[in-house]
Amino acid sequence: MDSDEGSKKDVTLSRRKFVKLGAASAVAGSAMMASLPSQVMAEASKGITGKQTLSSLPNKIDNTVYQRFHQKNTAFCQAITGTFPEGRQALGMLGSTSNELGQRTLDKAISDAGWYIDSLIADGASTSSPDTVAYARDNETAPERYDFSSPEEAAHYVKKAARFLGADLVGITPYDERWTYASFYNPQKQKSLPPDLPFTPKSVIVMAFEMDYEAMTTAPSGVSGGAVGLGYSQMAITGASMRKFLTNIGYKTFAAGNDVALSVPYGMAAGLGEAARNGILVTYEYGPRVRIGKIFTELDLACDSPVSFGVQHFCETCMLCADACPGHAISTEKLPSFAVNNECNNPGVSKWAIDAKKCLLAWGKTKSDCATCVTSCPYNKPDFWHHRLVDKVNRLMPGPVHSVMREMDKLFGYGNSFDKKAVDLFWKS
Amino acid sequence: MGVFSGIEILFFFLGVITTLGVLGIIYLKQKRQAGPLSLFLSASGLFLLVFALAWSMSSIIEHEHQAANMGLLFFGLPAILLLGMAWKKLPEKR
Repeated sequence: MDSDEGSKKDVTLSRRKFVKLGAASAVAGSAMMASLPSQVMAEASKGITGKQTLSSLPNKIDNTVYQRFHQKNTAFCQAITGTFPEGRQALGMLGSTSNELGQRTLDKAISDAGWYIDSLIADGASTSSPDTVAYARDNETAPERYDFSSPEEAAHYVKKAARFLGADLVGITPYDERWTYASFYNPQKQKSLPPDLPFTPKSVIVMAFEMDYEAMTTAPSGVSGGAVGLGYSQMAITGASMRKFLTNIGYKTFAAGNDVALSVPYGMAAGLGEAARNGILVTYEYGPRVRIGKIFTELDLACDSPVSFGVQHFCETCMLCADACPGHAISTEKLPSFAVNNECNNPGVSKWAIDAKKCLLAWGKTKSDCATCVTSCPYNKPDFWHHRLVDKVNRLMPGPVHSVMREMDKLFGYGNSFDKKAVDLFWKS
Repeated sequence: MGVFSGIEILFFFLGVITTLGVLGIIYLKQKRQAGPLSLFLSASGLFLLVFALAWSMSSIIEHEHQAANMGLLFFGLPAILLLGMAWKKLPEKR
């Protein structure tokens, strides 16, 4: 009996202590939260991802200057057609092999294999290819429409279908003519095409496709080229499949790779990520390690909003991509501006404009589709808890701390490019 | 084990280590009459140790070996120092 009472007393005591401890922790926590600056509090209240929803794109657009971009002004089109002969030469170097790790026949073989499906059904994705299997514009549409009860319901089903069919991230935004090319161009046929779409789309479904982290650590190499190619191949497969899904339920639809319209503004508008210093869309989940595909449809869908999770702020001090770029094609200006390098940039949008011609020349130098700006970016991390934690901490920190974070990223061995050991590790792991 | 991913196994063992660590701190308080400073240092050291292990093992799973080593150095070393200090602050065994 005594021993029972004794043990009961102990339990009561420890419960009291537990409650006291809990109360003390709550008071201490509240005091700490109250002492945090209001800016930090605002950041902390943005939910577990730290994403802030924006009402419009974060970039300033000068409407008196901005005009739609002509597709033939892309460095690729200029290189393929021969108006940028050094670029053409650079593209010719992509298939060359040597005994160097990353450039061997084996490495180039996997690059070619990654691109294989894209070359079969999408013709390289970078050009205007309305007559390819994946990106055909005139498609048969079922006569009977499946009616959704609301745009929200339609968006839910469409996103589920996109993820099921292979997309890693999906967002939806209204069709915005500003991002559609002013004219289309097929460089293989050296032919300008009018920017005619078979119908006026209502919504654009923007999909991001992850490229393999381990393969991308080998950049620039044939292996990282394979990851890029695989991204394009998956984009073509999912694009074609989504087109089939939507036309099956009676809505006119067509898919696009890099053709038809600019991908980065659409990715931002659909809430997939932010534009970074390297000119690439940086997503919350995969950083810049994605390819972007678009689906244009007449189906009315509930749209997502642009987001910010601190990428632009971080890019202002980081500059790891600019340091890593073998072509010196990335701006080292602290802040984004309206400055452009050549006709490959579209004036009128505040951003860090990359020099696409220098970028393409670096492809020739590295005998690959480079991607060092993807590999070196501190946002290029696998989707692991500790990287999400660092992202979150990073967002709460002021600018000068970002320089420390940049150095820590290097110290911890992330973001190495031209790392031959990574090629070996890729094949042996 | 095939149904569990590396990260799930890691967090299971981290749970075991944390539980053992908390039991250790309770032992220090109840049996060794550890003072508040010693308890605070022990708890901080345990937290850092678990964090160092979690970081390093996660880095190994993602094949980032340098990050794993640096994780042990940056978080593991202070953890050991804190635990050592906590041990030093313990009252003499009677």
